[in-house]
Amino acid sequence: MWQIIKNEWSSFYRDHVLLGIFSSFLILLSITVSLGSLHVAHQNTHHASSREHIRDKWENIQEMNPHSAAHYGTYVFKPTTLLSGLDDGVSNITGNVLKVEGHVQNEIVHSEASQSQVVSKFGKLKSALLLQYIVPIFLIFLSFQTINGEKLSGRLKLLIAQGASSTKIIFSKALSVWMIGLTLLLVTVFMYLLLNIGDLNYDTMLRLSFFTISYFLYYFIIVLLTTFLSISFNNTSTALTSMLAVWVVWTILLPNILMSTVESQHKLPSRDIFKLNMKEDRSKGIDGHSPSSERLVALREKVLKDYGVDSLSQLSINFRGIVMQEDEEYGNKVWDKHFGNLRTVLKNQKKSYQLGGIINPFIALQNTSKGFAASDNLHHQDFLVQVENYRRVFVRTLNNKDAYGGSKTGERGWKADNAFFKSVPDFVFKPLEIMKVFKDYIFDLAILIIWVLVITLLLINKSKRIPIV
Amino acid sequence: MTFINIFLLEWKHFIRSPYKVIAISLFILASVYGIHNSVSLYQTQINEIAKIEKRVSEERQEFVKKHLVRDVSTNQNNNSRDYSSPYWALRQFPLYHFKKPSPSMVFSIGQSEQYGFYKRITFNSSPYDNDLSEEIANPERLQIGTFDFSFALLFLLPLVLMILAFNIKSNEIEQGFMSLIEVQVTFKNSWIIARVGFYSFLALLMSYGLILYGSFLMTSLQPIKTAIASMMLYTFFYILFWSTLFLFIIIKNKNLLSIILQMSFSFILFAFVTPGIVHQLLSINYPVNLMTDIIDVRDQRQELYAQPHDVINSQLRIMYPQIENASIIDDSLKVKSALSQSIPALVNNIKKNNIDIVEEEIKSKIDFVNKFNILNPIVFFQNKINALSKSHYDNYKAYRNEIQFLIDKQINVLIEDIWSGRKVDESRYKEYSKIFTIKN
Repeated sequence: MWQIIKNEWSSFYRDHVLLGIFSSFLILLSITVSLGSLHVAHQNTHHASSREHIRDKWENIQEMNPHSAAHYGTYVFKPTTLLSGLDDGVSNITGNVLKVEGHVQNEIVHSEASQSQVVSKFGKLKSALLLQYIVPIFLIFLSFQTINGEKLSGRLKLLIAQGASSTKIIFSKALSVWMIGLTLLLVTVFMYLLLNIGDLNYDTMLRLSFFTISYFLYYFIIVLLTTFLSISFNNTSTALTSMLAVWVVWTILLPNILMSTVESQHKLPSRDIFKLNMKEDRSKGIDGHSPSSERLVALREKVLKDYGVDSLSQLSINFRGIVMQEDEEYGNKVWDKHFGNLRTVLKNQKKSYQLGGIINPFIALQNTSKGFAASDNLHHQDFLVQVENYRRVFVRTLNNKDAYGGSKTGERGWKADNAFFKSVPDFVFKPLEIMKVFKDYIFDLAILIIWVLVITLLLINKSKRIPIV
Repeated sequence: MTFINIFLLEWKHFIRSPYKVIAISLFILASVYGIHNSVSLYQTQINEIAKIEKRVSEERQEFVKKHLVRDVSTNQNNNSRDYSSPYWALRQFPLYHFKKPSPSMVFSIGQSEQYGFYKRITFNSSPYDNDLSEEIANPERLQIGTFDFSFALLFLLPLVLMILAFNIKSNEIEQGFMSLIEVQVTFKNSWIIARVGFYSFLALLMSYGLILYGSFLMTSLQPIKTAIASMMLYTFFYILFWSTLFLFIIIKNKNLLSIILQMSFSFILFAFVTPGIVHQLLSINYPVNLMTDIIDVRDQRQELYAQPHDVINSQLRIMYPQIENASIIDDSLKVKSALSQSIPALVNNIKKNNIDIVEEEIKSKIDFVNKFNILNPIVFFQNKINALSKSHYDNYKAYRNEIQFLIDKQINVLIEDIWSGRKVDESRYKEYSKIFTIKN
């Protein structure tokens, strides 16, 4: 078997056209990785300077009423992850700027896609674009040519007639093509490691390993399926066009159609309805229980009782701060309910879409690729949750200062000093560790493995039945 | 053999090739699916707009009933908000501006899912507010994109043309018929041109049929007559582009594999690689704008509010010289209140200046992308189709301009009403509805 693989590689090496295409791929992949890393570096620099600018503004507040400061708020920018240099997933579509303020959980805005006209349909020239769409086409042609060349020259029948195992020959040829795919993939990964050596950590390495494994599996499926079709059809053009049709259906047609179908099955509310429902729940109480006016009366009575006084003016603290925090706590419950529902719908959409991998392994590959590159919706949602958790701490700090910082009820002009504002912590993004979310990608990996097993069995079965005469 | 003979023979060949018929059928099915997706999005947006318009009308009636139908000369509310004052009446005035979808959206939904299509407007608003973000949608679905007719036309049609034309000449060479054909035709290339022409004509007819089918699904054809004509013209040039390229590949090559290889790689080059490179270069040259210029308005506003009244006064008089002769000018208390309530006009000016910086950068980005149009035909056609479907970036920019126009209008009315000492009654409130209307 090894001998056949070596022979195949020697013949690839002798074919100047193939060697030229292979070299072009190597150069293109290297350029792509370099540009991807350069893009991440540029974006990070820009991100750091913008973040510093906003933090400076906050730390330079000389004096301000804490409630006014909650309205003034701060801004969080979505960071670029290291692996987005390989696959930037949904980063182009999702917003980048999130205002953190009191009373409201804002949505992330100002996506890259909204800042220009259409530039490309399939995204930037990141490694994932080449590895997902273009390298498979190259492997399809190679696999087709390897098998078809043998078929047309009659060498395949000759070898089988001489007693060689048809399964061994077919698999050796398929493996030799697969290894070309692996070489391209490994060069990409190696280049990436080389360019980012200073920033690598255990989690990134783990993610990169899973990322590579997903592509290994997908290339295996592509090569074996092409080989299977090449030996199944007598007509060369039918075999090749069938596989190209499979590529078109898998990569261009199905992901689009399935995702649209999934979204119509698990419907998301319109923005207007979503906001109206939250507003309603906040003022009238969740599900109509405990409206805001009743909540306020109850809180007032409780505070007066706790402090043993008869009126708000007798309080040693500022009642407004307590009201604001209480309102925030209630608002948090409302947001948890509505944003929680939204996340549940998104999760259901994802689960349904993942099922599409059963008929289209490309879907499983896309899911794992952007998932392991930390650029899918799951990671985006995690970022949003982290910002919201920060917002709650941020607003609570300001409300507590307003309530217990030294002002009394009704003292609207009271201001906290610069030292306080400097003491409010900045947002720190904690990248999601892959092992914490690995379970979300097990199904996609399992789908790829099942495809590998099924296609291997099909090819073994088919290769045993190649007619000698 | 005449062109007609070749066309007739090709037709016979076509209907006897099941994979070619399947390819065409799949394309038609996919296009119809895409057309219906667009129609569905169009209808969703129309319904959403109607729902908001109805609510806005109810809110206005409710406001009049609650705050303005009785004597407006006295403050009827216990809180500090006097709704008969222009400031509070305008601040609470329910005003939305919509980007109404064009029926020509049936051809392409373009960038319509990346932007909001309704926005509440007050004199404190800006076209870059958070509530102008896109509808709630799954980002992974947005990343993949909605399947519409333009997608079928721009990405599937070249593949269909490839399937229809890839074995022209190479099949005859492989089967040894080529010499026979050469003696029957005057020029071999004219025979190839006629055959490729047949499939191009078929693709054109099919596309025109689909364009007309989509157009008839919309309630009225009249407003999109020009869009239909432009769509047909772009389709013609697009098919001509691919047909010419494929024709060149067929003429220059002899074997099947090299023809398919070159056709596939030319598709990959124009669909994936070139747009991808342009996009990547754009991102490196212009990192995503984090809108710090717009965020900075927050501090500039703070500074403005901290200014003494005479500074505000002089700035306002530069912008609105008419306040010099305002009827309340001699009442210092009223002037003081009017000055505070007029600050949004100055803030709006700051916002516009900062928005100009952002828009300038976006313009440079678009100019950068357009420089590559000659090498990037798919994206060129995509943007042209988006423009005729009113779903291009420029259409949303125009929508933002309309929003700014309404904000400016509100501010002008605010200044006029405040400084003339006007009280808002039912009739003035109803006038607001007429004043703040733009038809799009």
